[in-house]
Amino acid sequence: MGFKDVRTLLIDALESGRYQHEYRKDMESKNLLAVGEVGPEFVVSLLRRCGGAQYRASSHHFDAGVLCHQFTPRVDGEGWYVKAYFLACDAVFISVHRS
Amino acid sequence: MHIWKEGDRSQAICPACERRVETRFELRAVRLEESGIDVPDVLVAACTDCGATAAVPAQSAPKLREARERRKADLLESRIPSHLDDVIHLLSDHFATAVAAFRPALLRFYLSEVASDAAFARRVKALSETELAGGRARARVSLRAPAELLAAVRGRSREAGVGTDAELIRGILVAAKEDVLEGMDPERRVRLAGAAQAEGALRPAAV
Repeated sequence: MGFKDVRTLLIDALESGRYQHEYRKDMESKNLLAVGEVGPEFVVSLLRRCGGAQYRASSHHFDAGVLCHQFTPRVDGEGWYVKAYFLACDAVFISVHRS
Repeated sequence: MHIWKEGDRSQAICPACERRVETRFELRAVRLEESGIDVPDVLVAACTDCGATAAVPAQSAPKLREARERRKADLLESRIPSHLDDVIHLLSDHFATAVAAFRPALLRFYLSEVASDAAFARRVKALSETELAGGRARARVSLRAPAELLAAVRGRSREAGVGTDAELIRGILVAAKEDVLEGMDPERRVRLAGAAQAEGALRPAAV
C-alpha cells in the first residue's frame, strides 16, 4: 500500500469515525485529536496537504507486523506530526501534534 | 459516524502487554496525566488479557475535551448580604430575564468591566465600602469563569485596593444597582441589556 492509498484510507476512517487512539499517558500533548483539541476535519486537512516526501512508514515498536504511517505536513508555516496504523478495520492514531 | 458500545470488541496494541491484544469496550475513569484530570465514564478499549486501557475510541474525544475545558475555568465564590441578592433579582426583573440564567451573565459582565477599566475598579472599591454593601452575608454567589478573566479581574481589583472576592462582588452589585436601577450609566445599561437578551430576556427593558 503506497502513500496515496494510506492517506485515502486514513481520511475515510476520519470521516466515518472508524478510528481509535492508542492510549498514552502524554495524550494531551502528543495526541491532540484524542483529547478533542483538534477535530477530525483538521487532521483530514493536514493529510491532504501532504506530498509523498512528507510520508514514511515504519514498524510499530511493540509489533513488527504492524506498519505505522507517519505524515509531516506544514500548515501556515507550522510543522505537524501525524502517526497512525490500521488494526482490525480501524485506524489507530498514536500522535497528532505540532512538530 | 461509527459509534462503539459497551461490550463491543476490537483489537489494539496494549501498552502494558506490549503486543497486539483483543479489547472490550467499557466505561472507565480516564486519568489525563499531564493535567491531573480524572474524567469519569469514558468509553475505552480495555485489554482482555491484563485489563489495562489500551485504546480510546474517537467518540470519547468530546468528553475528554469538555473535562479539560472545565478545568481551565476557575471558580469565584462569595457570600453576600441578602439585600444584594435582592438587587440581582431586581436587575433580572428589570431586564425581564430569569435570575438563574442572568446572575452569571451579570457577574461576568461586571467582572469584564473591572478587568478593562481601572477607573471603574476604583469605583467598585469605593462602593464596596458603602453602607449598602455591608450587612450579614447570608446568600451565596458562585461563578465559573475563564481563569484568564478572573486573574485579570483580581489583579485589577487588588490595584484598586479591593482586598477580597467578597468585597469585589459587593462593590459590583452596588455599581450595577446604580448603573441600571438608578440610571447612572445608560451606555453600560444598554450593553448589559444585550447580555440579558443573550440569556433569554423576552423584551428590551424600558429606558
